[in-house]
Amino acid sequence: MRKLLKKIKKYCRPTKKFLKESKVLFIKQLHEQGIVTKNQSIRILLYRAKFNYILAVLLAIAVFSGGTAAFAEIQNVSATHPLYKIKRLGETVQIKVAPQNVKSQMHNKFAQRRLDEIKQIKSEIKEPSNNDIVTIDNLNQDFTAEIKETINEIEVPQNNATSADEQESEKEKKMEENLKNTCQSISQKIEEYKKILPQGQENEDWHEFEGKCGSNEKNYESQKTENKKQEEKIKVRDEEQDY
Amino acid sequence: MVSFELQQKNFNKLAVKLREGQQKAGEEIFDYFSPKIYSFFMARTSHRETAEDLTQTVFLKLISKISTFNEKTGNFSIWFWQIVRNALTDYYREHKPIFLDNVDMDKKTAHSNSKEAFQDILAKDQVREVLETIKGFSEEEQEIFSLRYVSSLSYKELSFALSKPEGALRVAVHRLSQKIKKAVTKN
Repeated sequence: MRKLLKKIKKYCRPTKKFLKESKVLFIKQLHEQGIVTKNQSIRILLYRAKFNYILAVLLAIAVFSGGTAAFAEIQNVSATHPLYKIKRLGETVQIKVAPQNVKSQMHNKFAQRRLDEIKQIKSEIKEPSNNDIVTIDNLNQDFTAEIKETINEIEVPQNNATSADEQESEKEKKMEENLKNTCQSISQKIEEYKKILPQGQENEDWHEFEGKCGSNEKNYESQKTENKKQEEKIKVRDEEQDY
Repeated sequence: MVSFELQQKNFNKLAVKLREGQQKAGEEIFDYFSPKIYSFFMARTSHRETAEDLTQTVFLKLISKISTFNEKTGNFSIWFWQIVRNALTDYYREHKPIFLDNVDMDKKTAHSNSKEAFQDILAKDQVREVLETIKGFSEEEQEIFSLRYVSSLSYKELSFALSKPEGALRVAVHRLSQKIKKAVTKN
């Protein structure tokens, strides 16, 4: 019975040729009867083309800007270079996406860059034009801002760890070392900057920065001695109690 | 495997798209329904050219009537199968039924080998026998036979095409198969 039904099915099956020809006829009729109009087909095609075009343009922009930013970053272009703004944009993005504990280091790195850029301009241009003066002024401001950010972002140890808490004390030691290095690096930069800065243009903020970095160190040292004193006091008290 | 409900919703969407003028929707409808519809007509008319003409007529009717299809009030499958059945009724009104004497078998079946040719004739005879036997059945039974056994519609699709409950159709199909078995063994 099943075999028979299979045979019937086979004989009642349409040929591929018939289906193909009928489909063509059907589509032709769809157009002739006005169900599918050329305008609609064209509109869909245009819409698709427009979408693809926008996508391609966006992709090209992304690739181009990414490429140029990478190029500007690798070449470390100078402040007078046409790609300088893209380099700065890349720096801003790097700062935004960087983890909190690395931000201070990055600001420090960028401060060094600004300093080098000021030096480069000053060495290359002996008679600066108005534009150059504006550029140098902007770089001065940016350098100050980077130093400020470096100090703001730096992690200061809280000095709460007791001698028993080894992990915490090790962490604080690292932070202390980091603080010292950064402060040292900043003070070096400021010294360098002061040398290239024209007389009478010294920024008052520097005193504050130096004071802040120095005060951090001072605060840290005083906190440390206080902690030691407290620990000694506790020891003495314990000994007295034992006695 | 796409569920039946999903498939039906999809057909409704395709019909709406076709009504809105999307050619691709029309093509998808054609690809799914045309072999089933052709097989149905072939089983009912036993004549290849008639089945071809009727299939094309149905799709022309689809084009002329698609603007009246309302997806909120009906299902596309039910609506379309109704067009198919009406086309057959119209055909019978104008023509007398053709019996299997001139069943035009596929041209590929022309064999050089005499053994194969003999087997083919034998198969042809068997098909003719069954189809002629079925022509003696009631109109409803003939429809069920062609839709279920020849066009390979599922029970749910069958219930849509014939507008009858699925359970009743299962019983009808069972009885029909018993009836065919009896008739074939008798012959």
